[in-house]
Amino acid sequence: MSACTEGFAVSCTGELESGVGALRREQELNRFFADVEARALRIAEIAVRNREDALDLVQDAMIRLVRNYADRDREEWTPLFYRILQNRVRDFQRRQNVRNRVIAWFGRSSDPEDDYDPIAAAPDPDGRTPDESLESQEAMQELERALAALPARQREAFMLRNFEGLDVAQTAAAMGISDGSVKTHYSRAVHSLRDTLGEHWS
Amino acid sequence: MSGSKDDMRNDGVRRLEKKAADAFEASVRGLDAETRSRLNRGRQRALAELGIGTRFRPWLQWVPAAGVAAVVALAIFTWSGRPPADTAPAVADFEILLNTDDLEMLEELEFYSWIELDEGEGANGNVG
Repeated sequence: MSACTEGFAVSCTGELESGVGALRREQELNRFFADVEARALRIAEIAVRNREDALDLVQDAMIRLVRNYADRDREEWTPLFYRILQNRVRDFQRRQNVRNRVIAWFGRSSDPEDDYDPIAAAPDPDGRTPDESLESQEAMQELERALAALPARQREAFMLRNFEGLDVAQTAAAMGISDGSVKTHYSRAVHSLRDTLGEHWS
Repeated sequence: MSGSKDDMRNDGVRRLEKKAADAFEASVRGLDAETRSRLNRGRQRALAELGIGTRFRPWLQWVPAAGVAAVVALAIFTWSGRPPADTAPAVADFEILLNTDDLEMLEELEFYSWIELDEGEGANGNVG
């Protein structure tokens, strides 16, 4: 005999609706993460210059979004997710700076360039000719080096606007700054990159 | 003249933006299978958080309602001025049990229970 009979029908309908709603929300979140996770990983990887750390940061950002903002509208998830991720990246970089200072104090080299192998971090080829793949990898490595030289805020604004395709308002929400500041950071980033990357990039 | 310079600069900016976006997208498409698998596992771990607190502990959703019901019952009991009639013996029992003069009674509780039962049956017999 079904539990959902007579007097229980109303409450059972409510439970079914909430169950269906939860399932739908889980599917929406799954699609959202599947859509955003690879780009988020590469953005975090460019910022922290390490894939393992970037994977941890992206997963942490996913968990925090689910825990705190799963009930928000779908349109709010992208800026919220990137705001969480950017905060996690900044926390990570602060800890790294402290760690590097401590290591330097004990006389060891703490140059992050020592640990960063652009060839190892480069992505695998994906159906392109070796020349095309090599050219693309070299371009990305060149771009990553130029991005690494930018101030953090300019780098964040450029990556969110140009790589993730967020508009000014979404970028402002993700970075926790005003629209005007986003425009300023982005403009400075573009001009610095033009100067660094040279004529053949622009 | 300056308009032409601006146009050239804007074209240069657009080319840089496009080239950067293309290089980035190529690097995303080129992510290896292991990395994509790890991203997928991370996503599933994050989604598992969605069920915690509701799916796996459904009884928790009744806690607020139960709390409200308990407070309401206590308020009715307190503000009614006197306890309901059927609770009076229970209160009296507590008063007896907490009276230090009657501690000996605790040792013979079973005997007094028998007496009370016996008297009750006798009274019923008289009525009947």
